[in-house]
Amino acid sequence: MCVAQLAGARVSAGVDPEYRVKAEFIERFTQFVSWPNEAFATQNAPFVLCVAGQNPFGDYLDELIKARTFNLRRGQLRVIRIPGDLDGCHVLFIAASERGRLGALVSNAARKPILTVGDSSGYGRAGVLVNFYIHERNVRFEINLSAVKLSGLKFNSKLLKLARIVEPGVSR
Amino acid sequence: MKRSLSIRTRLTLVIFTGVLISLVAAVAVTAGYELRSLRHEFLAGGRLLGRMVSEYAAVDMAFEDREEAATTLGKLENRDDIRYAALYTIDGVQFASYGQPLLRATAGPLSPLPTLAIDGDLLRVYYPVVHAGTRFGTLDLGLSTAGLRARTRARVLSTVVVALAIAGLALVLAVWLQRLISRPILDLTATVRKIAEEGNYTVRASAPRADEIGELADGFNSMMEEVARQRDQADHAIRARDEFLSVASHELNTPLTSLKLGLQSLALESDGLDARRMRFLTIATKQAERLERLVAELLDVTRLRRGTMQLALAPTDLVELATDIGTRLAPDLERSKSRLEVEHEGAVVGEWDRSRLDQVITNLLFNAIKFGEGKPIVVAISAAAGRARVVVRDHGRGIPPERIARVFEAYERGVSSAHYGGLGLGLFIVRSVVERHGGTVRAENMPDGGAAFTVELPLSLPSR
Repeated sequence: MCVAQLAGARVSAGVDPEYRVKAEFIERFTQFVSWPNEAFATQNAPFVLCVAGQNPFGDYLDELIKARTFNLRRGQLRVIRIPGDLDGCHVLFIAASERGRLGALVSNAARKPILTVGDSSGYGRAGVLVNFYIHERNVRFEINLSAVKLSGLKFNSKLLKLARIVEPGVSR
Repeated sequence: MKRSLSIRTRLTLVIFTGVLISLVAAVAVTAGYELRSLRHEFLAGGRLLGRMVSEYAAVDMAFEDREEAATTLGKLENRDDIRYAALYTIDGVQFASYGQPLLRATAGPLSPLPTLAIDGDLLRVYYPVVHAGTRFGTLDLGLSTAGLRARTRARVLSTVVVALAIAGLALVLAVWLQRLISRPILDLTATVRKIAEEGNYTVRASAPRADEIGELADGFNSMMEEVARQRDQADHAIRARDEFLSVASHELNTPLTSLKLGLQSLALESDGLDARRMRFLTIATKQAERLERLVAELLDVTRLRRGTMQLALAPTDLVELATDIGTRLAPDLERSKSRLEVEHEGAVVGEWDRSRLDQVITNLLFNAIKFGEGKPIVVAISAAAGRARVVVRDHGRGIPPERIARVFEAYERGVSSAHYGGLGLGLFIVRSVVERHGGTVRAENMPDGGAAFTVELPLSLPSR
């Protein structure tokens, strides 16, 4: 992993380097994805990053959110306990532990401008927009294009260049 | 040096310089502008390339995909002027590369601003890799400047060729244009030279023109008309004078002959005359002789002018002749108190008209007596190389310098007529007779005072 090379990363002790990279990637996704204006209640509304399930980032994500801006907005971390409680989320990280509630979370987030980010094999096919996987010890991601189209989010084509594209129900 | 250049050369130079300076200035400005824009275009191309590659590689750096970054840079192989390309992280670590990257310059890759620098045969473009305000690293591109240099060379070469062509054109133009001005001037000059050299006063400046040179030619022609008119008048006046003199001298000669005969008859019967009447007869005879000399002079001039004087050539000794004349003029010499000396080294004999040469030496001696102020007069006679030389030298006041050139002209005199008598024909007759004998005569003032008249005669007339 190349955590040390990433811009602005503050190394927190005790966090798995893989998850530091993933936290950085989540921040980078927000640079290559555009949210519609309706996704924000007001001009100054914060950019809300939600985490469903067991937080694997430790303090790292919290510190990163405090240190950075997201689409010129300040960031806010929210922990999701009930799958239906997704209003206001702009990014939803679904931890590997949430496989049981995955269907509910995906259907609640579907057709909304919420960038769902999965961290487990098969999440992409299940309707999560972006799903991490490991390829030759590097963190990579797949994108479910059909789900992206339904979400109303705009993905920068450069992002697609790096991703593995998955179709719903079928892994390519 | 400059002054010796002809009008034609000067005009050509002026026109050539003027045309050349303006045209070369125009070419130089254009070429300078083109070279600048050529370089500007090249730099702009490098900057655009840097911007495109860095934008395209931003996502690769954002998500740390080295393979994809290498693929991205690999697409640059389509352009063979790109020597290398490399991506560096903001910490200065190489992220991906294409070709053989140079060791990066210290400031370049880390600079957050695009930097372009020509480094030998390379244009190095450092372009920040940025997306959405976050800088992920820097692109380092090396572009060959060979293309730019080749185009610059071609442009400079074509400019030099154009400049040379322009210089040639300017020269042709200058040579052609100068004629517009110089030709009429040269034509006029040629006309003036023709008049001066040939003495042909009927020549006129040709080609009427409406410009200043035309005015000059018109003025010149009017001037020539006036000159011709005055020459005609003068010729006419001279002819009328000669005609008058011819008639007058002949008309005077007839009664003079009767008068002389009468006086001679009277002298033959003078035995009964008293002293007083005898003195009147002597005076009358003397004045009649003087009148006869004057009339003879006039007749001679008339003959000389008409060219009807005949020479009676016979062996003549100049020394004997000069001695005779000296004896005959003894009373005049005595009266003027001048002493005459004839210098010679023996007889100088030639085929000449004795009576005419008598006239020559007599006239020269009269002259010397008249202006000699009572000082000694020397006649030196010598011969050398087939020519005889007679120098008549006085020690008087000399000839006024402004008149010396004209003393042999008819009716000219060395001094004003108020103080000295005579018709002013003596030296004219001298020159005319000497020239009829094929000789020369000249007058000069001597350094120690007085004038010297030198006559040179061939010992015999060249056979005609």
